[in-house]
Order: sequence, then structure tokens, then C-alpha cells
Amino acid sequence: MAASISKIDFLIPKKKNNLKKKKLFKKIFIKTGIKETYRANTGEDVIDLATKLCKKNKDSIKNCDGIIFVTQTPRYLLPSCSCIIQDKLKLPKNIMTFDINMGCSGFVHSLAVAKSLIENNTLKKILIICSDTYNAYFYENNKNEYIFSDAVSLVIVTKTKSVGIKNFSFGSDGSGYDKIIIKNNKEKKLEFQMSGADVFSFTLNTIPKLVKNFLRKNLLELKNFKGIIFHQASKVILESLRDRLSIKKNFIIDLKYGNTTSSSIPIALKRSIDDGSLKKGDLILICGFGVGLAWGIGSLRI
Amino acid sequence: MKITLIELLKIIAKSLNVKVSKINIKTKDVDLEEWDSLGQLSIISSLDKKFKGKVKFDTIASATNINTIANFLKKKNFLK
Repeated sequence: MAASISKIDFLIPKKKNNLKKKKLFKKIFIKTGIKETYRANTGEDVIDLATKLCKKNKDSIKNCDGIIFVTQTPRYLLPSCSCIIQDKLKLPKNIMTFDINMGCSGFVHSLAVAKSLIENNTLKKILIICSDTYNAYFYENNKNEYIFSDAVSLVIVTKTKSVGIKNFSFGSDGSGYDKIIIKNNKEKKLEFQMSGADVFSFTLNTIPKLVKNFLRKNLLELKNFKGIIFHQASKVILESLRDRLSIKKNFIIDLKYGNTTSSSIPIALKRSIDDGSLKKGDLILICGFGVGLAWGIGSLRI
Repeated sequence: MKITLIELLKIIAKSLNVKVSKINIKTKDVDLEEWDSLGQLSIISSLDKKFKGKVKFDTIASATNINTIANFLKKKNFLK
């Protein structure tokens, strides 16, 4: 019994933050490599974005017996978004639904959970939805609008004979919980706050070791992978990780839509398949890191 | 690999995009408009390249002046 990805799609809201017209654009762009970020319309949330994307893919999500919704900007504290989506999509009631509250490593976490639910015969076809609308938590002069886009992505994991999704390794360090956080600001409004230098430092200290240990444990080398897709955080972070790991090729940097948190790996994967840089059967390495602080790494054949 | 204080000042000045004459060991982040969160990130990125990934940056990530950075590097034997 094995599990593989059978479908990937994503949706970016049309509304732009018009970064080029903002005074800090040039200064920030040099570091982030992000030309534009996108935001959901006022009043539009993760469920609206997810419903739109799922309806576009209605034939593919037929017969799903599980929904995993990865988000940190849910419509309600309770109930979970996955329950609401089941109803919006008119999916049968005898399906398993739950949310995963994880950020930039959320896709890797959800993929590992989906794999295990399929391999232990609990479910056969799982719809993973990653969606966040961080822009709703940015106010005036919050520089994070230069980095983060709202987005939704969809990945379907199906029971297969050959092994698609392979191995994983995870970690977390809650001592850095306040480095990326949504909490009350001075005006007692919930605001997204990030300590960029601390997150950068955590990434440099943690991720290269994680990658090396994962490869050693699974008897793999970087050259085995046709695609290496890390969380698309920003240019400076990705280039520093690439240099630290001495990755010579197949390292994907795709910041067209900015940092889309848990959707960044599915988006880069889908765009790499669409432009022909990756094809069916290729072995790829994925690695997510961020909010928590938490991280996850995995290998899979697409 | 060890660098001198002058070399460190040059690296920091280049990271912050300011003239080296504008900074010294006593310079604090609040003294320079250029030393904001992105400036801090640039300093870490430049030092990471210089020391080829051998430095743990927790202290530098929260450093608010050059003296703290210099002392940290000296303690770790990266500064003469």
C-alpha cells in the first residue's frame, strides 16, 4: 500500500499590493526578490479562496474521503475550515475532516499525515488544502506586505501501488514562538509580526543540518533529486541555504507570487511541472520551515 | 578564519550600504536609518558568506550595536 500525489493546483487573488509604487520597494526587493504580492478582497477569507479553487477542480476531488485544511488564518476559531468546506463542496458526510494549524512547514506536515492515513488503510483519497490570508493582518507600515501573498493551493493524495510519497523528518522549537506571530498590537488589533533577522538566523542554524541528517538517514545525496523545493521564503534565505548546502543544480527559486506560506511548495512544484523543469516520476526533496518555529522535510516521486 | 575589526566594519558598512567612515565599534542600530530589520538580515547574510556557514547567528540576530557583534565573534574566535 502506498500514497502518491495525483493532482496539484493553486489560485492567487487578483488584487495586487502594487509594491513598485511603494517607497521601500527597491530596497526590499534586492533582499526578497519579490516583485509583487497579492491579497484577497476585503471580506474574502481562506474558505472563499478554497471554495473557488475546489470548484474549479470539482472532477478531481470527487470521491475524496478526507479533507485536511492547512491554515493559520481560519474564518473561525471553531469550527474547523475543513468541515465548512465539506458542506460548501457538497461532499459526502462520511468523510474525515480536520485542520492543521501550521504555517510554512504545513504542507510537509499535511503530506506526511495524508500518506500515513492512506497507508494504514483508513482513507483512499485525501484533499489537502493549504490557504492563508496574512494580508488581513497587516496594517499601515507593516513591511510584511512586501513579502507575503494570500493564496490557496490544493493537492490530492491517492492510494497507489507504487510508492510516491516517501520519507519525512520533522522538528520544532517553541522557544521561538514569538518570532512569527499574530497577536494584539498597541491598538489591541490582531497584527502579523515577524522578527526577520531571528527567523533568518534560525533557518541558517537549523535547515542545513536537517537536510544533511535526512539525506544521511535515508542514504540519499542531493544529486539524486531532480528538484529541490524549499519553502519559498525570500531570495536571501533561499540563496543562503543553497550556498550553505553547496547545491549546484535543480534548486528551485520561484518567487513570482511572493511568500505564500504553506502554499509555496505546492505552487513551486506545480509551476515547475507546468514549465517542464520537472516531470512525472522525478524524485524531489521538499522542505518547509517557519512559524512555530517548526520545520519538516520529505522526499517524494511525483 | 579570523578577521580584523577593520574588516568587520567594512563588512557591516557594505551590508548596510553606508560608508565605512560612518560607523565605528560604538555604532548602535538606532544611530543609522539603514540598520533596520533588513539591514540586520544583510549583516547576517554577509557574515554567513564570510565564515562559510560556521557561525551560529542567534546573538547577531538580536544585536543592537557593533560592539556586541564584535564581542561575539571574538568569543567564538572569529575576530582578531
